[in-house]
Amino acid sequence: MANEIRIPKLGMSATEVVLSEWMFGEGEQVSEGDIIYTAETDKTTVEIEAQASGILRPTGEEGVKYKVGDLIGTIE
Amino acid sequence: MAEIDRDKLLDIYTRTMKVNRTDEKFRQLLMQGKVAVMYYCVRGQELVSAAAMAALDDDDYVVCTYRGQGEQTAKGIPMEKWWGECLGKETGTCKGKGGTMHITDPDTGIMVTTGVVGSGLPIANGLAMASQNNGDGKVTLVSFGDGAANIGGFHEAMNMAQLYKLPVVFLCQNNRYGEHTAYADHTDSDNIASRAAGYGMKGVTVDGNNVHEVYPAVQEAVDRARAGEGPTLVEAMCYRMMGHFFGSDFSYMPPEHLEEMQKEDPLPKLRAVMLEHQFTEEELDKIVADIDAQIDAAVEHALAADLPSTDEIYKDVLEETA
Repeated sequence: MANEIRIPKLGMSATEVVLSEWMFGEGEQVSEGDIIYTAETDKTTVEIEAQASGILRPTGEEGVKYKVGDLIGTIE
Repeated sequence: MAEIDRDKLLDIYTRTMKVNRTDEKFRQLLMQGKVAVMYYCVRGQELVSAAAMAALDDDDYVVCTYRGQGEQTAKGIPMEKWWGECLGKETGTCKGKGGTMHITDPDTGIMVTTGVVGSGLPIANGLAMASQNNGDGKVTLVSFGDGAANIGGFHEAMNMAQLYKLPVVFLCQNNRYGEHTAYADHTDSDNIASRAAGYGMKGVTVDGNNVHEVYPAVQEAVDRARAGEGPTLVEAMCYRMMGHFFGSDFSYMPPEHLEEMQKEDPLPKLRAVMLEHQFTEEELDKIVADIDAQIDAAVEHALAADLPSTDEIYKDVLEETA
């Protein structure tokens, strides 16, 4: 089953988060704990770790602002 | 070094791992973006909370802070109710209307979770005074951090508790950071416990990463409180191994400090103590696996539960009068 990657809530006032950079590309193998992307709020940049191992299918685009909870990819 | 019997060690280990696995699960859900709530990580402070809760009776009272997951789960709030509240669901301890920062569960003695630094101490005095007046024999433990020791309410509460010999335990979890500020940048005294002397109170500083120090110190404080000998300030030195809250910038925590924390991590230390006491790796792993299964079931239950209905908005807030 695919594990969804959704935009996390990064702070009390954070409602929107910029997907800064994917550290892995489409179809690449990732392991649980790998930093798979960085996210940026108006206050900080946070490294987000994979919560499962598998093949990364990113759908979110770098530099785009997303709402907390938006789907930006899966790990199959 | 005080000896702790095997049954109590097992109890403390189980509570510690419950706190740790809950913390890990919460961070996983937040990273996935599956839940979007405020969460204050307790990684590094699991043992202090677990040992302190193991020193209390089931019906004793606890007042904790927004970084209170350790006290809440180790004291025994049923997992389904705890996760329900954190996810804002009607199955929660406060029907989903309190959330992570305001968990209250009188059934297990978690009387108040405060979101304001230092505000819990005077509240604990009130609970302890009620017990003293009622003669119910209960002890109140209030947990707070090093930053809270510089709030006015801390000093007022310490003075009052000692004056009236209230059955209260002040547990300062000195995790070296007051929110985003390092200890040395908010306090010049070497420790917090020495402040107790200013109120004529007993104060002790212990290693919060060492079960043989933290558990006996809290147990003695609880015993003194229950015997009518008054309050104690127990300062447990520990580390907050992450930022103030999930998602917050913690670049102000120097890398060498983070390395020092890893060396003092209470979990491998406690595991080593368990092995020294002839618990097997298999037994300890099974405890963790059982806890994980309980947490997974509780999370699924909470995710599937309903949000509180709009009819609930004014309930539990205002008392309707004729």
